[in-house]
Amino acid sequence: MKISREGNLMKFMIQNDLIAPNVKNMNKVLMEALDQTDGIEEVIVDLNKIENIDSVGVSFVVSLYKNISNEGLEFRIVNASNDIIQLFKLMRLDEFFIIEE
Amino acid sequence: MSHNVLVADDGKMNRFIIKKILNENIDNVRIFEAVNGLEVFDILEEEDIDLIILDLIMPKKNGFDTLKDLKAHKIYKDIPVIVSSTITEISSIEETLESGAVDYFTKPFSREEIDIILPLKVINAIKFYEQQKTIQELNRHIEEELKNASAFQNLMLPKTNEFKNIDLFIKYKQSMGIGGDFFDCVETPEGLWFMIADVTGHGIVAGMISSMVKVMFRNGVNDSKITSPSKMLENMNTNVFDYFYTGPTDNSVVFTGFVGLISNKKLTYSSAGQPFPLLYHERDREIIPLKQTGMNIGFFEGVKYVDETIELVKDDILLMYTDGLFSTGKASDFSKWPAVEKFANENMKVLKEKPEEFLGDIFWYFLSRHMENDSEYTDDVAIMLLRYK
Repeated sequence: MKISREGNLMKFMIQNDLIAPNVKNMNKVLMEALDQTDGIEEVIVDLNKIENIDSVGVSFVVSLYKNISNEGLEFRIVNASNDIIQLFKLMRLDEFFIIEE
Repeated sequence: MSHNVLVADDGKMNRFIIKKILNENIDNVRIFEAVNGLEVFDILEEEDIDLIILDLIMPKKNGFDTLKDLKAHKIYKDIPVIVSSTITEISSIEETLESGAVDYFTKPFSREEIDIILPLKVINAIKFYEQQKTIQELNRHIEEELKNASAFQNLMLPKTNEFKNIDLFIKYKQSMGIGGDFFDCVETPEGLWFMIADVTGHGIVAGMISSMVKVMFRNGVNDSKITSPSKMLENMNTNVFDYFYTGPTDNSVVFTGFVGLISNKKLTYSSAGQPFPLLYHERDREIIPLKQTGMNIGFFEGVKYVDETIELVKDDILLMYTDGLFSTGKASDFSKWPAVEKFANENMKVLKEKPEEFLGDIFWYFLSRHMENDSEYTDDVAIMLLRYK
């Protein structure tokens, strides 16, 4: 997971598929990044490179959202494939955060 | 703990030297002696041997044949074998290593081999064998536990296939002996409640959670305040946060589910992120997906679910399944549910007339699709079929 800052934006670029074997490592990186959100108002999660996602991966995204909204920050998913968008909509996640189409 | 080493060599002097080296360098070693391959097997029948040092050239049964027979033997195949020979040709050594020997040495022994090389090779082979035995014992233990867990999980399946207005047909395959898919069907005075669920992840934890889903479902069925499937899902979601909530970012108990209530010729249903069930309508002789969306249980507290109702006539069939049926972990998996619909449409006659056969067919059809991609079912698979009568 690549993390970059630009002004009051923090961007998480997910590099590896959101599937169970990868999620454990991502959680560690995530926890470190969330300790450094001073001055950040919005977090963008870029799923451009994600082809595969499983139920553990979806839980990871929800957990990410919960962590970020718990800090009082905005959360947005960008560049998700149509399949991922449809999956998130099946689970009505679009009611909680913005999923850019 | 003593180590039993079998030295097979027809040369008395060789056996004497090897015994001496082992006794001087290895603690608690018991040495057994054989002068040919036949005696090796005689001793193996009597003693629990940890390592065999095998000469290649012996009368009656030579070391090459002995090694091959050992490696083909059901019980003795894992005992490490170090070959010893005066033969120094690389092809003989290569042949024995290919046949399963863990190491080799050549005779006559040099000073260095007596003092360092042979003791180290023997110690390493024994250690490796001990580790292997420990792993095998652990695996056996885990397999036994999984078998017990699987038997327990089978207790959770519906006890009968026949209900007042419904015939139930199920197919269930756990990916690890114990699984996170769950289904249940309960008759009550108000009608027939049923549920299919898929716990995030698979394996032991998912299996434990699916046991709790069963308890929550059964408690809900007996709770007079729960009057509809949406209320059942909302209650389960509340329970998850009450019982397992560890913090605002916690996501440890998550599952998708579909709950239905069949009462007064009507099916009322509510979905929590479950792949769309399919309803075969006898009246129109068509299959329609019940495309209701809903949030997974355990994601967010206080989520509301919706009910939808549809009228049933005799011989209507509801087909429910978990995504393990077509899932390979790809994002595009979600969009593969129409493959289930397509299969159901193409096999409507079997679905209608022989539901049990249909479950077998659909299971094997998707398994063959997985196998075309050099895979098989990697997730739990549950398929549940209800026929209204």
